[in-house]
Amino acid sequence: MVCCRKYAFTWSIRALWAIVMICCLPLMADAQDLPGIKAKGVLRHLGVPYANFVSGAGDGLDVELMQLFAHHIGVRYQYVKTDWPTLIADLTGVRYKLIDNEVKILGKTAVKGDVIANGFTQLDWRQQLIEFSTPTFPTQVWLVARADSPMQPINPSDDIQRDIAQVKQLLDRQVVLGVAGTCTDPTLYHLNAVGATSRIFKGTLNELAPAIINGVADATILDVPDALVALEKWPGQIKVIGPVSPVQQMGLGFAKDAPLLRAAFNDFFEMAKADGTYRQLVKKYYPSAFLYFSKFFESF
Amino acid sequence: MSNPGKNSSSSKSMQMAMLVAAVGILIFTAFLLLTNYQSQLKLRNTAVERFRHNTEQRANVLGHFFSELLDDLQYLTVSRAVNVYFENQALGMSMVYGLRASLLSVEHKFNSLIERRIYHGKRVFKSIIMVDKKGDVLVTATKGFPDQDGHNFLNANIMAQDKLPVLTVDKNSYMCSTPILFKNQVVALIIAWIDPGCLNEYMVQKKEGKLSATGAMVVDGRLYFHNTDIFKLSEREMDLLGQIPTGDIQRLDLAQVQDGADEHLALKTPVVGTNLDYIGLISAEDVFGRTAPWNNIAALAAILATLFCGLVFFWRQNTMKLVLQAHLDEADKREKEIAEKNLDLETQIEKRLETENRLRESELRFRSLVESISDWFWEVDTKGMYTYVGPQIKTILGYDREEAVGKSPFDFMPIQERRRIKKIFRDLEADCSPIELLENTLIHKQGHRVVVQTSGLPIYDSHGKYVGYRGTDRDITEKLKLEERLKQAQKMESIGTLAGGIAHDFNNILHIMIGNAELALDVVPEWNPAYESIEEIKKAGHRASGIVKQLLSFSRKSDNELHPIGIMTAIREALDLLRATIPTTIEMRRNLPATDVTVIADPNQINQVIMNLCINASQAMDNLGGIIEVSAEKMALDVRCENKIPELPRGPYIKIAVSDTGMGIEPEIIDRIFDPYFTTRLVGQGSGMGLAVVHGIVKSHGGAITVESEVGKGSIFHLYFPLAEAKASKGSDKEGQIQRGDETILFVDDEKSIVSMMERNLSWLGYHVEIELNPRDAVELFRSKSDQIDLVITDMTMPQMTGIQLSEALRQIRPDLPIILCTGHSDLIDEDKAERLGIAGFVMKPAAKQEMARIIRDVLDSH
Repeated sequence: MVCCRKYAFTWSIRALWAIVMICCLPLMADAQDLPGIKAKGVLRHLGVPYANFVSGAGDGLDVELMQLFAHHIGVRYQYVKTDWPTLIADLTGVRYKLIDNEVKILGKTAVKGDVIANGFTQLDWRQQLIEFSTPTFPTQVWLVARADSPMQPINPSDDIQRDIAQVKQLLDRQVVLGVAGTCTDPTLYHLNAVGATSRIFKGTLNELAPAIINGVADATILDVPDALVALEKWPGQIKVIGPVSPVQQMGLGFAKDAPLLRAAFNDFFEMAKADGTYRQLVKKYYPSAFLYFSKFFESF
Repeated sequence: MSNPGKNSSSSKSMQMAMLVAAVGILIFTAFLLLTNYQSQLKLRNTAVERFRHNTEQRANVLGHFFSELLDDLQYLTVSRAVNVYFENQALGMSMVYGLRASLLSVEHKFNSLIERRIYHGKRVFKSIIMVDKKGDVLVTATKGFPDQDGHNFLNANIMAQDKLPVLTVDKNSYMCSTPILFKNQVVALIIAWIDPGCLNEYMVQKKEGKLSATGAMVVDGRLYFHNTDIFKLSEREMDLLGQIPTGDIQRLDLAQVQDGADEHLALKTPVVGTNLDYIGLISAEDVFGRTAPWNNIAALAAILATLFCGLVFFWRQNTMKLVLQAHLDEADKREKEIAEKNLDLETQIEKRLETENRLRESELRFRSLVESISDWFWEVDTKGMYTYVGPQIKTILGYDREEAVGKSPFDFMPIQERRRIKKIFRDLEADCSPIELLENTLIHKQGHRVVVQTSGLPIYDSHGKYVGYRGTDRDITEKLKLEERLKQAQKMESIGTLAGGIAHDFNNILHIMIGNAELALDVVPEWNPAYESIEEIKKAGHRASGIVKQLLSFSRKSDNELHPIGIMTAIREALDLLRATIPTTIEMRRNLPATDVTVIADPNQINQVIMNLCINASQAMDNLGGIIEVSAEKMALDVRCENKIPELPRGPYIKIAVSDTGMGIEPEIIDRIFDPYFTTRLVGQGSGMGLAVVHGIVKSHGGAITVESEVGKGSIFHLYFPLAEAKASKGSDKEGQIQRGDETILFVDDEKSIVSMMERNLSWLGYHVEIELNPRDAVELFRSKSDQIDLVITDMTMPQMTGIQLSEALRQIRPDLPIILCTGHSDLIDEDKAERLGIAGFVMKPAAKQEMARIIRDVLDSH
């Protein structure tokens, strides 16, 4: 009698698990290429609120760019909010761990989106997991400190590497704040090697500038778009010391098994540059970008 | 007529008035010109002051405008964007790494100001830049600035700029700059270039309406922005203008100005808050006018001289005009009088034409009236000859109008009438009296007489002279005839009334005579010579009774008693009776069948017919002799005779012909001879009713009458009576045929002789007789013997109670009582009425014994 009850309970659990798995099956599906997206009729945009790329209020440079692309391929646009640590996993369905700029696969996870568009910097380790589109926005990572910081902005030279060296010389025994898994991860720029102490910030990238104003750290590293926004928001309270990286490129991230989707975007992006659509979007969200990256935008 | 003296006086007065008016006008004109001269002087001063006021006002407006622009720049120097830049710069940030981004906000501010500051649709600022102390341009709001001139300007001024804003003028534009202070140190300048276009157009060079007023800017004695469309000044003139003292209006001779005037007014006034001066410039003509005020005085003198000459000329012309006007007025007056007379004449002509039209219409109306009335209208002259006759003469006398004109009315009269009327007319004409309803007789063209009634009035010519008579003749022939007939009818009515009145008494008398004669015949033997005498008395009594009936019939007082009779017997009796009245010169022939012929007729009326026809025939022969023949024959009316007597149905008839050899009847009147009262005899010689009565009797017997006549030879009347199948009743019965009885009869009559005679007659017939002379006594008697009396015979006309009333009283006692009513004549009762009242029998007096016996027997047997 007891045996029968136990047997029935076991089968009940199994049946319940089967129902849950069936319900979650769509979430666990792989990222789809262009035909699958067109079949489903929706383009899922993976995004994290960051600078003026994704404002979190329903707009932003990359939000509008993705909306135009969804319309271009004839499907509905859908924004899927995610976070920096899970951003790539939500696209690829692969759980990983970054150790010394090396990616270690941990397992699989559910795919939640079809494309990453988030002011996403093209980093080497990221390219191990995903494919990037043609560059959409230039960037550079600057060291930003409080206004009263003893660190003084460097005198620019014509050599970027010399400028980076000048900056790193100032970081001895300085605590530098950054966000792991992003372009502001201090480990990416080997700051520990120059005597700086890297501190991983648990907040978002937008919260780095106010963090150092509040004394969380001596300085932080911000990419140029984010630094420009911070300078505008907190004038006279922060100062840009200098660069910690050479000029980098941002782009959209695609799953490696979505080459058709990536190619379709590249074609669309060329069209948007050619007809001035993209220039208008940049002017709307980053008007100063043309000052700093005039070479990048001169062809637009 | 005009009054020259009066006109002359009025003309002088008018001339004086005009002279006074002219002098007044001259004085008033001089006053006006003097006032105008003073006003012009005031206007000149006012214009100069207004020029000064406008120039100063415009300089103030420019100063206010420039001060606003400098305020805009100072606002930029303290803006957040500018301060952020200098704070970041103070933090040591480099342009490459972050500092350049701060300049984006500054540039945005500059651009916003350029877009916002608009004057009359144009941007005021051409460009705004920010330069640091080294002269390096940090922000340029508009590309292309500063150009080389701008850099020169910067190099010349940047180091000299202190804390105050500066406004200066370049040859192409205004430039203003203000320093940026950061931590109380001048760290940079904001410099703006102002577009001179809108400023010059609306402030500096603006014209004053139609005046050639304009202006220019002066900086350090140098003239800028003058309107080259008006002022094309030489260098000397520009220097001259630039150097004029401030605040005083200067009169300058500027030959190069394009407004055509040499002399101009200029006023230099400082622009508040700047180092600029503004010069207002205007043509002296626009302020003072083209003519000097003394010119007006000269013009006044000229006007006065002209006016004076004009007045003299006008006065002279007016004098001549007044004389001429007087002549013209006189001519106008005469023309008006002629026109009024013409108008009166036209009015009179119109009235005359209207009168003639009315007269013509009246004449036409009169002629229509005259020709439409039935009276004959005529006019005679003083000789009594017709000068006009109306068309009615043709109707009245048968003559045409042309036949009558020229004749005398007396030509149409019989001789005796002519004499009588002539005498009357002469009497009337002598007094010119009117002719009033004068009856006279004229002879118709066809010969018969026409009686007319003449009325007329004397007529006079326009001088009152008697010229004749005018009047009318009215034909009253028919009227007189009708009046005669009415008289005859009234006479006949009187005869009828008389006959009806005497018939009752006369019949009672005859009733007594016949009754007693019959009683006598019963007792006198036939061989006795008295028997024949009594028989003649009885016949005479019956004949008298027939005459009474004829009288009543003639006056329509009796009804026909049609029954089968032997018509030949009736004809013979009539002829026998006529023989005594017809003159012996007239032979009477009869050609009657031997056997009698039965017709349904009243023998008395047949008798009357024959008598009337024969009397007419004898009169037609005018008692001069001739033959009257009466014949009769049976005939069958068939198809051949239908056309002659269409009103009769086919069948057997007796045809009776009465002919004479008299004068005959003229064809014109033969259709009228049966008309009542138609006669050709003189008044008093015949009633005109004889043939009418004959015609009526024949018709009432279902027969017809025709006449054939030939003038001069005689006439013949044909009578047709339908034959009857029944045999004719005999005129008298045998004694053995008398019906008798033994019942009791009450006889009531107020005539004692009748009561006595009837008592004996009824007793002779076997009846028991009760007699009463008074009807009331009769009622009482009957009441006492009502069950014993079988029959009551009563007279109709009695005192106290008529026979009808008696009968009603008796039948109240015994309703089934048979009563016989007996009367000589009464309008109150006849046989039909008696039957309706329940009277069992009706007997007309005088009744023969035999008839009485039959009626009594019939009544008793039927009850």
